[in-house]
Amino acid sequence: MTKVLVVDDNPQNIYLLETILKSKGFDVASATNGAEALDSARIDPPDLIISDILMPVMDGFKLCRQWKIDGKLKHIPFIFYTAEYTDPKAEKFASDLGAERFVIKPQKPDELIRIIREVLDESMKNRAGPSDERSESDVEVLQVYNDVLFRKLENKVKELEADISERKKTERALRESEERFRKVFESGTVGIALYSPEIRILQINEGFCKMLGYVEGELVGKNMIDFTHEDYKDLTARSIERLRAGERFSDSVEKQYIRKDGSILWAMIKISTILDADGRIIFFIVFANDITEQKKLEEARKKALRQIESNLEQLATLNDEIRNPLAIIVARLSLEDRNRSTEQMIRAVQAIDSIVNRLDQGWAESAKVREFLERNNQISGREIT
Amino acid sequence: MSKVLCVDDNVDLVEVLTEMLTSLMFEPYTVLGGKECIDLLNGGSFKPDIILLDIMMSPMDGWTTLRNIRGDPRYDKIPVMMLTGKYPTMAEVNEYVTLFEGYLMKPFALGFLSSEINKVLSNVKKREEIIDDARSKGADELMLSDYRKLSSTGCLLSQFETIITDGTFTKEHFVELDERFENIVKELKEIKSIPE
Repeated sequence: MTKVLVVDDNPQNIYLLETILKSKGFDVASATNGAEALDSARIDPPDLIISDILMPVMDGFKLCRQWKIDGKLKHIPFIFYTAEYTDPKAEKFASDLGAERFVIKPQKPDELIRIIREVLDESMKNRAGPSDERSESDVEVLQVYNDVLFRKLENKVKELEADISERKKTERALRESEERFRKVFESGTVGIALYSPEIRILQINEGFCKMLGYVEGELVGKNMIDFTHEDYKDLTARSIERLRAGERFSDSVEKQYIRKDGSILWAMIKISTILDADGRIIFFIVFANDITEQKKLEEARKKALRQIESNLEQLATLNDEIRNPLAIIVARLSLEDRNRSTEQMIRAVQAIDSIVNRLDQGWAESAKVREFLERNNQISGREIT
Repeated sequence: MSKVLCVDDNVDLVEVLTEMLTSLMFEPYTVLGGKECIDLLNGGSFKPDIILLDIMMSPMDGWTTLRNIRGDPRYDKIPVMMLTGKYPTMAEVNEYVTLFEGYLMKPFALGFLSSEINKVLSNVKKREEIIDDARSKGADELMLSDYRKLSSTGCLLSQFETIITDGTFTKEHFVELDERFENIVKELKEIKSIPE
């Protein structure tokens, strides 16, 4: 079987060539640099060598030079197979070194095999008389060699630079996106936090920290339940359960937290799950709005309403007290004979009575009650005269 | 002459009321508190035809006194008119409305007092006549007492209505009222002497 020695510092390139050659019935050996190739070939010479150019320890050109002055190896055909440089100068240099072919990567497998077979055939015919004459002196060879190598390195560097600048662009885009997120996170108006699936605090913004009265360091790693007011622990737990069970992706609750100083924080919470590709929860993300002031207002309003109601009830009681003396006056007057002065007094009492009635109207319940009693003949229209 | 018992803690008012009632040809009696009223009734020797009951009294207020009056079979049939200067709360109405005949708001004049008292007395007289007649025809005592309540206030259904609009209505209420009403109507229909 024809044996081919493949030389390349990139293992993937070796693997590719190996696969192609083996599938066509070639036997394949490999080396990752020129020195390795020489060592291997001197022990067990191949029928053909295919080599890359830019390799560590000993590059392709040096290898070819060594190859073509080695008595054991010089008649074995040498094919350069490279992607790095397509300068015709390099190709001339390669041919001056004695290489049979200079092939540009990548080649179609069939084309590559065709070239290899062609080279092997030619080498069969030419076995008899390889030319040992070198037109250039060693110095000239080295000069051209350096030139070509230098250009190769230049290109390589250009490639790397392009690579780096591409990477820098990506890095910058990533940084900008992180910046934007950070701005939102730290904006301060809304409390934002990230919890682990076990509801431990992973990250918490300053806004939320301030709401709770702690610094970040005191909160990270702790369980959010620890800061929840006793009365709201159940509600919170149930909400988390619903999210864990996948019943929904987000939930809103109004709840109370205990701040560091022991005071109460009323917050409107929206908690959402962040899932991985398999639908498992990787984070909980929480948005919190401080509604303590709102709640205080609500409480104050309720209290005021209760106060008003209580006031009206008290008023009703006062009215009752006023009506007693009025009743006495009216009763007295009604027992007297009517004359001008009794008429006057009755009118005065009527005036007071109507005021008291107006105050009673203000109490909505009394209207309801009077209506009810009237409907059931429990009460009739009153006359004071 | 009809006996009128006035229960009020205001001495002046009670004095004037007495004069008013006398001039109206009633026989007035007075006590100054709820306890005194119950004690008087418990004595057994005195039975008024009508009681005028103030609400704002202490230590025993008018509502409690009313419940006590209604609680004793010896005198629970005596009609009571609430005499007061304050409208009751809805809760009080729900609880007591079946127990009193009328609600007199102070102040009122002579003529008004007269007409209201007479109205009640005549209604009660008529009612008792119907009940006696029904009893002689074999009507059940419990049902008759319900009828008394029903006709005295006309508000079994109103109570129904009140509780519904108030939102305190429960299934138990419904069942109870429904039963009572149905029974009464059924029995009453069988007593032909009771007018529709």
